[in-house]
Amino acid sequence: MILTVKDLDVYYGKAQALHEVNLSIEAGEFVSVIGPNGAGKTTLFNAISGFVPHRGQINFEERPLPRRPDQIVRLGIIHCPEGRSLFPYLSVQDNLNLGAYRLKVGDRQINTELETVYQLFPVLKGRARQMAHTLSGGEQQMLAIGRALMGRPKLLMLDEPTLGLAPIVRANISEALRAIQQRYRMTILLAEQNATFAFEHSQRIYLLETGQVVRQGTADELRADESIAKSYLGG
Amino acid sequence: MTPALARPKWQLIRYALYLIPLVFLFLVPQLFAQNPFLLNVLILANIWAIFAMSWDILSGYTGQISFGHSFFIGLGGYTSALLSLATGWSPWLTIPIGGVVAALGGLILAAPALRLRGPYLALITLVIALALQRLVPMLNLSSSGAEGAILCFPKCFISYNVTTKYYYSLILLALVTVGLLLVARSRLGRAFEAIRDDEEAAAAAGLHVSKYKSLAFLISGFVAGLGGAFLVNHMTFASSGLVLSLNVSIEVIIAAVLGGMGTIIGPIGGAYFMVVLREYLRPLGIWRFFIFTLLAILVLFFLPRGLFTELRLRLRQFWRQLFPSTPVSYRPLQAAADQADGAPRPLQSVPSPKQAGDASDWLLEVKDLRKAFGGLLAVNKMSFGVHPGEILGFIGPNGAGKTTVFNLIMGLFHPDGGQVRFRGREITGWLPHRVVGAGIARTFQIPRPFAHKTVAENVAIPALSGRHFARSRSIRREEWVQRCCARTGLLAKADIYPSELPDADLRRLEIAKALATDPELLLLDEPFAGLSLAEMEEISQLIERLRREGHAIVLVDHNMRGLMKLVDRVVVINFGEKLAEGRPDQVAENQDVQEAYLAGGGR
Repeated sequence: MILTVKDLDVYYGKAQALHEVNLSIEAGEFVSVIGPNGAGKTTLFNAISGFVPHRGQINFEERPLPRRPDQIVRLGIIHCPEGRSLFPYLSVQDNLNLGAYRLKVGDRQINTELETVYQLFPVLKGRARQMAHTLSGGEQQMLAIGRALMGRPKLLMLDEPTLGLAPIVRANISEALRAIQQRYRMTILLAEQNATFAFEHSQRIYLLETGQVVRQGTADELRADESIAKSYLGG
Repeated sequence: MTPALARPKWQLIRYALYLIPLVFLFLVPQLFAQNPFLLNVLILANIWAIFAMSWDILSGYTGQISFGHSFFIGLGGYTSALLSLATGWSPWLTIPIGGVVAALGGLILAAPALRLRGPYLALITLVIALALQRLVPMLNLSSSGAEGAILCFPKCFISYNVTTKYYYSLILLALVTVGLLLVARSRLGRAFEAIRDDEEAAAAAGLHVSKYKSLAFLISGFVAGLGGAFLVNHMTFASSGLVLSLNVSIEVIIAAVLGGMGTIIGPIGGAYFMVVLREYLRPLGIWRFFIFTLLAILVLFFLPRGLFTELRLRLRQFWRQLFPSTPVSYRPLQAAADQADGAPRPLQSVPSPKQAGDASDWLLEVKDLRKAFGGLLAVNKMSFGVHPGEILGFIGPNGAGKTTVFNLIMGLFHPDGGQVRFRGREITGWLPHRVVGAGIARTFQIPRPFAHKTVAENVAIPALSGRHFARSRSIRREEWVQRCCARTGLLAKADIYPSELPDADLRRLEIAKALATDPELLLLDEPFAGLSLAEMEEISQLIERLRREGHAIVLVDHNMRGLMKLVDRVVVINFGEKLAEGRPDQVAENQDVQEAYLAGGGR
């Protein structure tokens, strides 16, 4: 297990956002967390990344996680947040370079990472000098994923990467995710509202509702469940 | 009448609480008759409170940060002094004239504010204040001193004793406080806050942003000028150091921020804190600056929102512990609203929906619209129309120009070419508030509620501009706001803040805000994004219902399943140009559309 989350509780003031969440991922696995708005998907990600205080145990590579977000990133857990959080007035290339701050390496090695990202998302190469806020929504999402990849993640956490994207862009991102997984055997944790998208990629799925894991299993098992198919996959 | 909006008793109690310190201040001369120093300090505190409040209405309330309030204070002060010198008029004439001149100065300062924001605006205010400070000594005004000082002009307050002056300053402070509170609580104040929170959303709500900004500068200038004129008469001289220096501007900001920005009342406390400390620390000589700075930093460190705001929050908590609130029941209203919901009608009489294909009678007609950003042609040769009562799907890949087209229609951008006609009238290049006034409203892709306002207050802002109210007064605004909340299913949540709403309700709020402007045409930008299937179904039903009530709707969304079911026709755009147009089934089969957009999916 590369990541294990045990009995995770998160409170916002008096309101409890997560109740005893348990979750684990093997190295090289693609796991999704699905569920409606406000179920706690983003909170779960923020807890793992150290952005919100929590109770319970989170282990990464069998060791407890450090406290500060920057320490967690340095371990190789990289969070591509919902809403992208790009640096809007920096160029595409600078945005990507900032993703590599985890690595203590020279420019030459960063350039190979850059090439990898540009290969995955050729659009970005053509726009390397453009400011991030001038990109279209789809390109921005690609840039956000690209920036996350620049840090050579051991665990990549993608929060709602398809939000507000056109079907064609969603297809592009799908393709890129498949390539990342096959070529680099990267471990990926995905939070998705769009269950169809999550089922396409994941080996295993957790269903989160009102802060609790209510179902978990392989994608096929959950797909076979009529109630899930009905409320999340649209019949 | 309207429990969802009014909190009548509370308001009264709160205002009554404000009276306690006021009464105390009126008694000060009796209590400390033997202490003229204290009275002098308090006079200064009153004047600084006026300055700080004038800054607060502009910067705290309207979000136009000024670093150059000495411009207004100096204008007021020197106007009063010079007039007095030249004509010998009474201070009771020259002080208001000083205020008026400073108000005009406010209009001058408003000109750059209409184009600049944030640090750029702050810099401009600073530079203009500096310019005045340099200009005054060059005018050779002074009868007697260096640096443009005017000493001992006739008819100043020199003959009054300190108690009298104290009462005058207190009365002026009370008048200014009441005046500014009235402004802040009125529709004007609500518009100011909306502009501070989100200028674009305010424009989309139909507010004439430039007008309101200018008014904020005007009011702030007037009040600061009054204070400046009073100060000069009190001190019996006008000098650069007294009213024109940048120190003055900075101290005004410190007082307002210490007290609590955006509260009007708070800056009074901040000013008292600052002036009293400053004057009583005088014996310490140069050290007083360090001590004052240290104390100010400590206050801001532990009470970052300012003395007043923090105090108010604590009091509210305390109050809630004493009297746990019983939730207000909305049930009777809800029932009434649900009844009304069956037969709701927009206030405007709406022509019956035309059959699609009848090109002669467009509600909205866009013709050859063109817009370039630098070298990038964002929208080109864009032509389409919307029939009355129709739902038109407007789709295309991200970056295809959908939102740009919305912005061009709404007047947020000026098109480089082409025409927009609404109900046969050309509206190309109109300012946003006029477009809204004509009957078009839009929602934003990412919900943009005014965060510091409840749902009902959010809806009340566009209702300010509601063209209906410009024409007749057949319905009260509270009722109108309630009706808009009811039509979108938000009535039960009217008193909740947007941060507590789930995503789907934020979308409803966006729609409610749009409805509050009484539109005929609604432009909905991605109302389904990020919603679950069930929530999407609810919003679909809402849109369907709005159409039945007579609104025409243009719907942008990437959720094909949700969109295709709902729309009568679809326009597909790519790279800023129209790619296809037709019935949903026709468009879905179109080869170009498949390649450019749907990618075989369409989920």
